[in-house]
Amino acid sequence: MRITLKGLRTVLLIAAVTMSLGDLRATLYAFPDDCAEICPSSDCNTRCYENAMEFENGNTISCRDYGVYDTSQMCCGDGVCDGETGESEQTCYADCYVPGTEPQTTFLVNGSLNPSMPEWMLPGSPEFNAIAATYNGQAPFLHFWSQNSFGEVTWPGYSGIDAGAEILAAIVNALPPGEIVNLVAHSHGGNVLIRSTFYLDRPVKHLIELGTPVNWDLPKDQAPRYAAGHGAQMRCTASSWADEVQLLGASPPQVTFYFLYSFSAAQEFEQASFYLGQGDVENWAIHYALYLAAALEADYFWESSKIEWYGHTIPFNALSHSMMHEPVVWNALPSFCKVGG
Amino acid sequence: MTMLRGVISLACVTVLGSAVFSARETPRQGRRGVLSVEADIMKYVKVGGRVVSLPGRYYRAADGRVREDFGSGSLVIDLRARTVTLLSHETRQAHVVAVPAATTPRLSASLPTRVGDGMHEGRPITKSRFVGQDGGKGEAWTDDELGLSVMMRTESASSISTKILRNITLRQPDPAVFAVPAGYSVSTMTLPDSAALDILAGRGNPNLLPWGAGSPEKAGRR
Repeated sequence: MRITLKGLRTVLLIAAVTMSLGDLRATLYAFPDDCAEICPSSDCNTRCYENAMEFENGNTISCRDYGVYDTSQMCCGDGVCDGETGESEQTCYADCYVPGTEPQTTFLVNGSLNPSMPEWMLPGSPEFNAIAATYNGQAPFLHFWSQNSFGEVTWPGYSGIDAGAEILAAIVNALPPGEIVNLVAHSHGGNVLIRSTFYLDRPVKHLIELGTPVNWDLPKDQAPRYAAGHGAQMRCTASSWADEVQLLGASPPQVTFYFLYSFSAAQEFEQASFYLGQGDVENWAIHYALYLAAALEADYFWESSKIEWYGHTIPFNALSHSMMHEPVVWNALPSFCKVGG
Repeated sequence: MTMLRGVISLACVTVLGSAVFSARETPRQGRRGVLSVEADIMKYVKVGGRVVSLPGRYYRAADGRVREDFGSGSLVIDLRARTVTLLSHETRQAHVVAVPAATTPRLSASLPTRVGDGMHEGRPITKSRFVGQDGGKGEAWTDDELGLSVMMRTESASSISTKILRNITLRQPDPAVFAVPAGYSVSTMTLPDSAALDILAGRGNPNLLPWGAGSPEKAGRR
């Protein structure tokens, strides 16, 4: 229902008592209770959440130390993240997470729409070699989940993702005690990873998603996404801001609202342009404001498929979806994602 | 789900504050609105302390069709046909989404507040700040003559995004840029109506669901 200016006050009253997307957003940005004390600045809330999770793992990084964008103010230098020196973020993490010498097993996991093992996972591929080189030359284990057709990775069932996760977890659980486990996946394989954490009875060291659609319907059984991967010492999601496949693989609300607000932005701009041509500044201003708001919402839903709220998101430039598993991405991941963490 | 009911069923505009673009303001002489435009886009996104840049291209036809290119994809919006088409150039796929007239988003906004004037690529602009319905904030530079937003900077809890138009050219784009390229496979989808969208919104965010299903201790986390 569209409204006229005459109906504006009535609509405002309606709006005042209905839930807005802002409320939804506020809930999405739900942080641990202690964050407000540690880090009152809203600018570092996202970081605060990540660090609060790391607190559960015994890490000592404080939100205040790490919750600023200015890397010169970040912590560490002596193996303790205490803000004493101004080292870089990566150095900070490398200091805080000293790599051990325990044996590690790294799993590579395919994405969707692959009827057979994709070439990038095969031994000898540039990707395989780059990942093996990261982990002291140890060849990664290949986990191919075959139920990855379109219908098996999408709403409502996501049956293929769940099946792939169960099998992966069974394999990981069968490893010898004490073996360190790293999980690396491309595309929807990342959702297999985080879903698998519900079946794991052991922690994961690195959980790395490459171009994974951050899908609000996943991980599992209506559990919040942050609950998945909670056993991972370090979670990193590499996302290209030009990767449209991440959006298309997201949940129906994310996809729907992205398209809807994109259309709405164009529609409001068209209206604004019309009124501007008529010299009607009042109506132009209203529709221009709505255009800005709609554009903001469209951007939000685009990013919602890329930003892993409860892990580190590593943004990339104009890389296509299939490029996200290539060595150019792997090699550019910060050390805390794959080595120091 | 109840909380979210009505999120998107209405379109409304909230007029707040001292709107600079108010009815009392005399329109600047020569304003004519955007007709046909082509421009380069440069978008910068800052996430987690890292900044990425994303070049693209903007097209707008006189009939309101719009296309934005970004990396391996393009978004084409046709207001008359009420479609949004996402082109995946890597996979040569076109995802055509129809927007029924009955599908209307909830949308609220405050009028922007002017913060200054300036020039962008030799053209006068007005700088204004605005607040989105999610509490996100932004700054927009509006071309005084065209009404075109030539710069938009938005901030949210997770990212800072800046989109700038450069090399703005007033001309009718080649109609082919708004069409699905030959050889692309086409999939179609129709957005649900507003009532169905309410349901969709209610089950949309998994972070909400457990709080509505018996984990009240988390509901207070804001």
